[in-house]
Amino acid sequence: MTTPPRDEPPIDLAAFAECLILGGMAAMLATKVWRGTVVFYIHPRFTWLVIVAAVLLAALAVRRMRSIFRQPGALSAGRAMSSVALASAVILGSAVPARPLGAATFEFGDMSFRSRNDALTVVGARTEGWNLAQWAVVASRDDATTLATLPVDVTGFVVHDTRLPGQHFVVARYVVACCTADGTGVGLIVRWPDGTNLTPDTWVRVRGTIVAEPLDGTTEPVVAADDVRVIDAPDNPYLSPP
Amino acid sequence: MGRSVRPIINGIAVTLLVGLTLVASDAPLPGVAGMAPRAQALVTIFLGIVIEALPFLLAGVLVSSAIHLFVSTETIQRLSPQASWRAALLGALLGLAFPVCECGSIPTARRLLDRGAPMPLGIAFVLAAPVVNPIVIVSTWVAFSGDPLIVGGRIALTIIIATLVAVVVGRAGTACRSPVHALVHHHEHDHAHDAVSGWGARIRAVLDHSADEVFEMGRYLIIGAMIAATLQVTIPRATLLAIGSDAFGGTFTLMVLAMVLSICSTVDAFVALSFAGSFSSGAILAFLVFGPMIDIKALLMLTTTFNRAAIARMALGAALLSAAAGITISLLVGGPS
Repeated sequence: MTTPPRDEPPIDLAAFAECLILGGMAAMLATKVWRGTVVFYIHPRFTWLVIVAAVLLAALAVRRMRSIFRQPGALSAGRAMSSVALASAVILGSAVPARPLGAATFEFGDMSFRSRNDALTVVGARTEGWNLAQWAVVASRDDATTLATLPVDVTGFVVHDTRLPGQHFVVARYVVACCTADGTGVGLIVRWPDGTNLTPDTWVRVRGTIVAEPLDGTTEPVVAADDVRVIDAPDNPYLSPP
Repeated sequence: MGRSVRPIINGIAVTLLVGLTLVASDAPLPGVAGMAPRAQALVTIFLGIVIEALPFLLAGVLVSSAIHLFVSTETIQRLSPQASWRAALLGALLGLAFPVCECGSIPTARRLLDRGAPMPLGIAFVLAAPVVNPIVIVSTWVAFSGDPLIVGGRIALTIIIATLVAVVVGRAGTACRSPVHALVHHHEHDHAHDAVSGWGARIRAVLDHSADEVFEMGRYLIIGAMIAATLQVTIPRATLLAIGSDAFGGTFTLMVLAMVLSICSTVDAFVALSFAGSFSSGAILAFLVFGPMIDIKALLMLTTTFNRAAIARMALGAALLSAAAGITISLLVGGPS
């Protein structure tokens, strides 16, 4: 006994899925812009491009909606694969909480950073207004003893490294020029009596003075902290190249 | 519709509906709220690449669709030089008119080839347009404060390498994967582009066609971004940089890094700048020339347009010439820059 073939549904399910994917991608981008979390992924100057992309994707979704109620066309494995791939991006972007890069991927050994701002110098500078990217530039260029006694007032997240002695931690930020793929970690080593008790990724404001301290066979610029205060994460967790 | 793929489509639809509901309610899926920090970082880097690339991909598919719908084969063939060298050179310079990065240049080249453009023109455009365009030239100029060696060298080397590779690969035989019009379309406008008239109808036709292209090109972007993000999280950048910073090791290191990072060419100069204190000008140039031509996501996207043999030749040619140029300049100029 054979089962009679069922009639095809009156809607094109593939077009329906594609409509949802395009609309879902537009919604995902718009939501990240609306909540301000888009800066966890890209530099803020590209936000307008994301808004344009969201509008375009929404327009494509609306156009694709018209295809849902037409006679279903042939469906190749390639087209199904495309839907799966794009849907996975929508699902990851929607379901995984937006969080910026943090201590887990911070590379302690690669904190040097060079800037196009060759004029950045400690001579006559009000260094308490510098951010960690600016400090990283001079720290990779100037000797630690040159930086000694300079005042520091920076914000960043806490990173611990087993190579550092007790009471030491790194206050760190990522420098992002375009998107998180180019994120480069910058930071300063901080000496603070309660430093090892700070939880990784906690945002802190560190105020103190640079001292030249022998660490692991070399002399490093270390912030002898006068005050370490836990603060809320800034709206934009990343720094721009100085 | 094939029975084997219908469950997949149904699954996608249901999952997306759930996902969209979660977006609206701001509630993460169970289990992902406390995911491992490195997995979270992988997702953040993956989404960073995708969100940054999407606008450029959309720009590329819009241009591609406009070419498909409104530019005839005869026009493209009439405007294209027939000699390989001239066609390749034109392709290498065409980015000045179509300022797109690699995500946008591939769909554009694909459509130009479909419309009868010579193969060397398409290959040279794909390789050179991400660099030889006004936006990238300005960003490189700003990043390196107008350093003539880096800015001029990047443009000149890209044009030379793209032209050489395009001529060689273009002559080697069939390079296209398949006719672009073999794509599956399920709407009615496909082959009626000559009859499309009126701005409203034209815009609708471009949107319909662009939606198809987003799915065709987008999957390679997504897969490439996932591979690049995974490599970034699993292989520390310091490990790559530790390979060496001399003329040979430095050039090789930065070329591998450029391929893994898959950074958009519009801003890669700012990233290259951070290596300037440790690597020679030649190695920096290899990073800036090779990366936009061949990176992981671009390699996958190229499979939509060229066959595997052609892609292998393009990648090998670009790698060898970029390495040769980087090492030579490193030995002549010295380093770090």
